[in-house]
Amino acid sequence: MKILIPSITALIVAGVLQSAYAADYNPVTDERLTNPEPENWLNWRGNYAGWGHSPLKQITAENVKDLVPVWSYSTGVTEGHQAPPMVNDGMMYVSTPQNQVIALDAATGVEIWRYVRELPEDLFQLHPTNRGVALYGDKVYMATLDAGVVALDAKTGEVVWDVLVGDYADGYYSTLSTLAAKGQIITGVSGGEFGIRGYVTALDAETGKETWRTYTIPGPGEAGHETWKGDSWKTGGGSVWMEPNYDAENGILYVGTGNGGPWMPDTRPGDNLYTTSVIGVNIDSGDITGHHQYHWNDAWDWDEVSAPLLIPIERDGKKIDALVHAGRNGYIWTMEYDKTGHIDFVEAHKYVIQDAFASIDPESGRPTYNEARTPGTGKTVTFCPSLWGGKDWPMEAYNPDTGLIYIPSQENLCSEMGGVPLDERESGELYIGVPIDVILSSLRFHEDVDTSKPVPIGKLQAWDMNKGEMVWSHDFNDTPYWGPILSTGGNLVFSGGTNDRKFRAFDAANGDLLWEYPTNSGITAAPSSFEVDGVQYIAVQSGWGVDAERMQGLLKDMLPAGRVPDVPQGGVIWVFALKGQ
Amino acid sequence: MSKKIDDERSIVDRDPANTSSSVLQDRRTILKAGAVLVSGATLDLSGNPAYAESSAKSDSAAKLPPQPGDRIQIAKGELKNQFIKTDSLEVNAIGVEAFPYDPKTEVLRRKNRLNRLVVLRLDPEEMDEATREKSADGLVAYSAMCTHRNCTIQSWKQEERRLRCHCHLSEFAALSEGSVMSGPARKQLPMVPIGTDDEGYIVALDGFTRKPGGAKK
Repeated sequence: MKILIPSITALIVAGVLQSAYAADYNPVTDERLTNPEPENWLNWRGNYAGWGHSPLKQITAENVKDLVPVWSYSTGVTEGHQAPPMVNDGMMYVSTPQNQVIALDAATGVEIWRYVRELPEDLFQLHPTNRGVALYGDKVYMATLDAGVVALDAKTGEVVWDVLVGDYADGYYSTLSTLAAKGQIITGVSGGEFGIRGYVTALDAETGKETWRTYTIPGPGEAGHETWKGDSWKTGGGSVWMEPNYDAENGILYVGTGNGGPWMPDTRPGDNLYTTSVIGVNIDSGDITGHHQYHWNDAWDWDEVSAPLLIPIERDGKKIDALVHAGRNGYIWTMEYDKTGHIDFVEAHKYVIQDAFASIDPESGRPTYNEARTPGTGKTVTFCPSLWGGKDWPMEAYNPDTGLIYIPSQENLCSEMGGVPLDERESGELYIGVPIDVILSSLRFHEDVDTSKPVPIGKLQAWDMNKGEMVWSHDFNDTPYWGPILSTGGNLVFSGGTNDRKFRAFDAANGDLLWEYPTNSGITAAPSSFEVDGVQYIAVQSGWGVDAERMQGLLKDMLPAGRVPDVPQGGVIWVFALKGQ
Repeated sequence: MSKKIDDERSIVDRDPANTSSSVLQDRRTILKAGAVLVSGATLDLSGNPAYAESSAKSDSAAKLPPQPGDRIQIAKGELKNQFIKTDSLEVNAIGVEAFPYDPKTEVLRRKNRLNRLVVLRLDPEEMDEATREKSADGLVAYSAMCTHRNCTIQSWKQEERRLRCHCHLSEFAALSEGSVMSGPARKQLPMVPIGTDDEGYIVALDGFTRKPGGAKK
């Protein structure tokens, strides 16, 4: 159901500047998105495969010590800034919390236009953030907190179309970066904590008309529906709050899905397909082409919504088209995909302390559970990793030169949690089955942690997926770590994510810390890299909030006074280049 | 916007004692005497003229903000659907979620989530004066909408007597008019001043002390 919203405003500024930039806007095509130019950042993760990698190599491990800020820009809003600066031939587009889109000159930071969405005054903003815009044709597309998608003219910021794909008053909302391909804009819905039924949806890029909608929970008569009992499928979660990755050659989306809702597994007996899964979806028809469920009948709030990276690996001398996903459930999963979108399990390795799974079937990848670590209604247990998982939403990156995948993980954290009998679902209100006060006091350190010393929590890990082995890691003490990764051709890995507000560069081959810079706030956004007039830039938004702040608040109570600093809020776009460039 | 409403608003916002005290006390007396206390000018008191104006346009009583004389109906849990009386709740326990209810038209004002309340029973001796004036036998009614981003407030830090929003951990002092103690919220939590009627039910004496809910940006 799509409804046109009448109450949208676009604040357009600097009309003179617009016309100067409008003249030569380079439309974004499927060809450009499939083979992105190194100087641009046209996809959310740099390419459709989700690598988070820029081939640019002016900034290197040798000279990164000379990296300095060249411009910055206040977004004017607080809360968690998570979107990457997107760049098309010198034009930058950045989304922020509260559904702003800001267009700037990428080299100078001059503002070209700004769109500000008027959000409904009764909107329940559980996650007031946005993970990025899509660039396609001559438009910019953003999913919105009131469960919509808005298309803006890339040259002027004017609204071209604006549609809703869900009912925010019923708990549906959207925070993901949208994906553009084959004339369509792909979006999805959040709301797993409100008792929604998740879906991924394609809209016509020109008109906003819905072309297909695929529920992540099959309805009656559809394959997989038998994994639900009674009416539990109607409120079973499986939300889609991150952009899928995409096999452009074969037209298959790989979509990560959220956990089942309500949280306690006994409220929805069965495997609960396709929650906590990756599903292949045909971009033309919306048909599900394959799936792998990382774990069945989730009990731990372990969303697996971060999409797997499409990377080539070698195993036993054989090349595999692999999907690799560092799961919130504490295992790094490798699967094989084919041109039809079929998905086969290959292997799984524990990458943080994980005590909830007793075993993993080597053929199917299906885990068995340690019952003493599996919460339920009236059953409180401790389990590791915490409900935020080994890695929550912040994205991994893959460097084709080193062959390594880089994972922003959190170690030594566990949760103690159990459910209570559910009240009747109330439209648009939380439907979790675990009291809020239990969730807010659920975080625990692993029993081996000694809090009299600095506690390694954040852990940047580099893995060689040809061998299924960790190659190096870097610990961050006494801090949450919520930093998506950027990899670059200069043998560098960039990431923020910590409560000391720093943005850092590491040697991609060995993990040496090479550079760091304290920004205005904590960085939970995806960095990007681009080039204008022969100068390579690194760009990132700094703006702490949402789950990083929640975890930070809990850690403050768990560690001795003075060990966990305050992190100020307020968003700023930072752009760096080598001194003298 | 009538002058009368502006005056009322200033009374409710003003801190503390003197005028505010006497006016609220007068109303409590009136209500206890069973007088009808509905006039055009006192409808839609929200502490915000724009909000009051837009609400007045609503044709649905179920969307109207709390009105003087409204009872408070519990929305969830063991006491679900009961109207709150002075002895309904345990002192210092976690609050109940509730909505205003118009006993005359028998309409529950639930079609506006900004009307969601959290009602607690506290020790009047611990309250500051301004909070006590808006309480009835230790009961206080706060907006359950966090003033940061509209999340429903469901967390209670009992020892510190603070209402906490789980979304971004803003904390509000239940003993001092919902003032912000920590977190990203900047605005205090609105209250609905309450009294009791002849039958011992808790009733709203007024609308919200200020606009409920969070900023849109």
